[in-house]
Amino acid sequence: MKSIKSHINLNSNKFQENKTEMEKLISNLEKHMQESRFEGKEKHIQKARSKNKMLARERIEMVLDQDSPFLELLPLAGMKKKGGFGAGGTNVSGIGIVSGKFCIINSNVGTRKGGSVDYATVFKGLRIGDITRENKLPTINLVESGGANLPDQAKIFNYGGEAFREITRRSAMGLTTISVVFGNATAGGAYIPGMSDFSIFQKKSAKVFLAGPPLVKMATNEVSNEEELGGAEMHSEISGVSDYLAEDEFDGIRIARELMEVVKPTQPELIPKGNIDEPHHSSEELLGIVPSDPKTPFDVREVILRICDGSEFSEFKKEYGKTMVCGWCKIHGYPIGIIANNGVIFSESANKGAQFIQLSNKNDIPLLFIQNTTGYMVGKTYEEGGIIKNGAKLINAVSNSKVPSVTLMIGSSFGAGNYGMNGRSYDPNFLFTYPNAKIGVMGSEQLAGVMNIIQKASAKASDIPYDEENAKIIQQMLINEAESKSSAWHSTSELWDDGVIDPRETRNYLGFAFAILYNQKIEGAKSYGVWRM
Amino acid sequence: MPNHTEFGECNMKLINTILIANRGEITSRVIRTCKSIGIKTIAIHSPIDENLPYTQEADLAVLIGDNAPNSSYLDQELIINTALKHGADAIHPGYGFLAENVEFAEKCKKANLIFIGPNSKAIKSMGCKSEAKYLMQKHQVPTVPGYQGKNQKTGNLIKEALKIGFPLLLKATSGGGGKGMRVVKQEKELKEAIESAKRESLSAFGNNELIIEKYITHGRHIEFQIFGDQHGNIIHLLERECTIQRRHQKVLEESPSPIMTIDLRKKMGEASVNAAKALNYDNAGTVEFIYDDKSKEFFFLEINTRLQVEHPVTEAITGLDLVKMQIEAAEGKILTIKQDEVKGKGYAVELRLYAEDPSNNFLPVTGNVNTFTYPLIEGLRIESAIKSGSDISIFYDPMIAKIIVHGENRDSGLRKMGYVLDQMVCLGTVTNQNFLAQLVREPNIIKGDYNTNFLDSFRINSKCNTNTLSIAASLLLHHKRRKEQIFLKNIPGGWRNNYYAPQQNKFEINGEKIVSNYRQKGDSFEFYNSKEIHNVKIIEEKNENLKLQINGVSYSFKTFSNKNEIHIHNSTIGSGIIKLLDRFPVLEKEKEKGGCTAPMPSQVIEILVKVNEKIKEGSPLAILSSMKMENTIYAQENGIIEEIFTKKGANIEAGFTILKIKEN
Repeated sequence: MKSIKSHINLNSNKFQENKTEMEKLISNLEKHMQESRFEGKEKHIQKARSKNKMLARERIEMVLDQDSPFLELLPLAGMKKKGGFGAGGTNVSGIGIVSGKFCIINSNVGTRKGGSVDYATVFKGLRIGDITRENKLPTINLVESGGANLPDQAKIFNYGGEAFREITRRSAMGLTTISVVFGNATAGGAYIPGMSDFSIFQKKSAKVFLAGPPLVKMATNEVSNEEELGGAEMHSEISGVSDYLAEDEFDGIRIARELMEVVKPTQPELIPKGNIDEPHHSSEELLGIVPSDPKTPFDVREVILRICDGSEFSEFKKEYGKTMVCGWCKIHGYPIGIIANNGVIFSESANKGAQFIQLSNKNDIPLLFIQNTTGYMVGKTYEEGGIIKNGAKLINAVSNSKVPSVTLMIGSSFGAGNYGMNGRSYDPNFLFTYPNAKIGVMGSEQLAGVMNIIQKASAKASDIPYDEENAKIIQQMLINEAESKSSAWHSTSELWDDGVIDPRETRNYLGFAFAILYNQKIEGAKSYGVWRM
Repeated sequence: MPNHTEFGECNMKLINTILIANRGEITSRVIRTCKSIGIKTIAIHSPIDENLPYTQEADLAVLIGDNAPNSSYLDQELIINTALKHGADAIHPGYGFLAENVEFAEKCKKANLIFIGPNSKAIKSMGCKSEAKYLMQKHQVPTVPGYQGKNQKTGNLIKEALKIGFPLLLKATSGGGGKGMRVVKQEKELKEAIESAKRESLSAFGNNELIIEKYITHGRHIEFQIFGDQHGNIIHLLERECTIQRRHQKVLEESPSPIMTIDLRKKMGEASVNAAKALNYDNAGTVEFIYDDKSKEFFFLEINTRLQVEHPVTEAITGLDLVKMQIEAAEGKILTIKQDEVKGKGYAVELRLYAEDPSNNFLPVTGNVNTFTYPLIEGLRIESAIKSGSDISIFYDPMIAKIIVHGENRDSGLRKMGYVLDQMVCLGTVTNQNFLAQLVREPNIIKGDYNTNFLDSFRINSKCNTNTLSIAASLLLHHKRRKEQIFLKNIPGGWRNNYYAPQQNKFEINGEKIVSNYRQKGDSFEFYNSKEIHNVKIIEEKNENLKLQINGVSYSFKTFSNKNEIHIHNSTIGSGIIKLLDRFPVLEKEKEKGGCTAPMPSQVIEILVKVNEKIKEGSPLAILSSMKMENTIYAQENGIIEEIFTKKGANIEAGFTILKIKEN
């Protein structure tokens, strides 16, 4: 493949302005990531230390192969949720390499609210469950959790059960779950080790029971202590809930690593061999290329050539439907097809995208969608031109595509454009967002403007005097509301993506994601819905 | 006729083929001279020595006997028969083994083989330290006060020792090289010292007789190389000072001695020649003296009737080939060089590179020397027993090489020696290399201000730049792990998308624990091992050679990995063996309790306890021998012997559990 050339002037004012703005957003991102790393109050951390306990993230470091990479997922889930525990909840999750195999790692933050589970943590767990199943990954749970956060119980009780269901369904699919219990795993939480293929309990520390001494006393009047009800020794020697009795935390993690050696390896579609060229342009430059204001147009090829191997990109149908850039390239040695917006989607762009998706499916090539679109083109001419049926073709192709995919939000993601470009509801295997990205039905100003027009018309129809001053205030409120609800922070808090990312790390995120997608057999779609021609 | 010869013609018998009844570097040394004068060589070797360089260098290499020296290098009949079978007309005994064995010298003569060494009578009178002392006293050569009587009963030896007073020295009458030698400082140590010296001497020399001498605490060991022919000509070839010793094993040998004056040399030289004349000495030999720094007196110690390990020092300053001279003397040629023609040129020093562990009391170690290289520098001579890839076995002396440097004067010679030691790469086993490099830079060594106890109070500085070594070790491991990982090779090692702890390796270097923390940042690495952050770039990584740039300074490392050990050498930092500690430490419950293990590969000399015997902390359990050095294992706890896993005579590896003790 041929390298493509950059046409960016690194010294232009626009580049410098964009860079300054993006750096501000990245420092916000770092601030939020820092919030996500909060592992509890100092006194709880000290208490854990005094008991020789490792913190959640330290346990992850110990379970991973040394010098191997780790991709944390959904670190900011729930960050804007009122009444929740804040960014990331009480579970650190991600994908790492253990004993040479990719696997999901969930680590309860036992030092933060006792590891109890809030609303965001439950839904983060469910999303991780989807990722685990779709990508056929084994799981290691590092368990220390007090169970449901009681004030949230009504909101989460019905959904929470899915976690246990999924463990055994995955087991039926041949996907292993290993749970190491370091502390509490009680009530519903007891089913995490209970449902796992392998359970490892830490001596004198794991406590696994359906009901603790007070509840047992309430229920049956039996007097008991925690060790009798659910100590690691009891479960290893008497009940058989525990398969391995670990001497200490290190030993528990060591056993989990040992079991990962036993887990059947997957059959990767491809493991890249040989040299991998870096892009010819520095990823640092992405900061000045992507404008923080989504209304400012820019050429998405400038992003592509900074993330793909050797900046090599084989573009498909370059002269046709120019607002949709399609083509093939490699990232970290993995061949992929890219569908990227260069602005609003016209009928030609939609048709081109649909054709490209079919071609990629025919050749079993995973897809990367790069979203930066205000949606499908509107207006008389375009409606006459069948923008609906052409947009429908793109949605048909995306919906029925069987090759795995990743979606990257780098600017606007408005209207049906979000759908046609493989938004959250189209189940991409991974979805990552730049901190400047905007997601919604339409842009906030358009939204406020539209509301203004409608209200004015409504007032006129009802013959009510229209208060321009008041309307302006309401309009601004609407803009603010829409603006905050369409931000990357809101989106990631709502778990609409798997993480907000630093643009400079795009290549590594994508490389990681495609390594996971290529870790199983890939088979493209053979049939689609009816095409309206 | 060659113009450079120290001998004239006489009724001589020309030697055509020499069997060298030895192994290792001295065999190589003899072969080299033989080749230069057209003599064929036959080497003998035990099975384990099969691949040592000397077996390839000899014209003929013959496998004899077994690994234990008694059934190979000490088996006289076998050696003589081998020599006869393969047409040798002479035997060179080297040093050690049979070099000073009268019986062997006589057997050679009977078999019509020339024994390259002095006449057997001279050996006999000197081989026995007690006889030698009488003889010297008779010839007015000053000797150290002591007991050299025939009554060798332990009780009598104790009685005589008490007469002499402490500190005193026990010596095997047939001994040499420190074997069977003990310094006894107080009465309570005496009995055990006598018994173990007897045992060691019996095993090493086949004779357990001892002499007792007053121990001169501030002594210097000065020896004179002597040389005689079969026609009554005897000269000395100047002195060597070998004061720096450990356990009576010479560590540093040099010439001229830093305390030598023209006057003293004349006096001691004359005494040496007299001593040699008393024996009708007719080959290469060494007269050893102890020089009392306080009284400025010197006393005769012994004559070593062989070629010494440190003979290259004399060769360097005199320009003579002692092996060639030995052969010529044995052939019956007349020594033509006159005493006043012997001139020392410059300064020479020899150090012995050993496979031994300075951090563990210099106990011998075994292992494979994976890499052995040294710089080619003028004035450097290496006499090596091994090559890269050779094993150091438990059966023989663990010497790797002799390093001899010849310089213009003492200062520059020692400086050159230091440089050579820095540049020399010996990886794969623990060695005394760093210790030697430190030794030659020691101010008191440079001043020449030392006595035989110098090393007792010498503190080894193990604090080399462990931080830099740990950085190199971490990056080697990093590189190795990344090579083994099949996924995402182009993502930086330890890549994280949220802040995490750095990658970590835990090491042990010279008993010191070091935690190495680092992150990969693009092409380079940040290390957080000390307060200062080190920025490190890998410049090259090839065949376990590593070139790093650390905070702008480039370092080259030669490395060798063996399981969890990384052996590293850098010419400015030194050598180190870095042990990677297990990420998941061995649990208490898995550790063997009540076990007593061998500290090094050894042979079991004696098990001192029986099953069901009650023992107390500190009671001796077993005597082991490694490279002929005895080592007693003591109980660390009270208890009862539950089981014994080995028996007398067995060869055991380091870490082998000898016996199990259960709680009383």
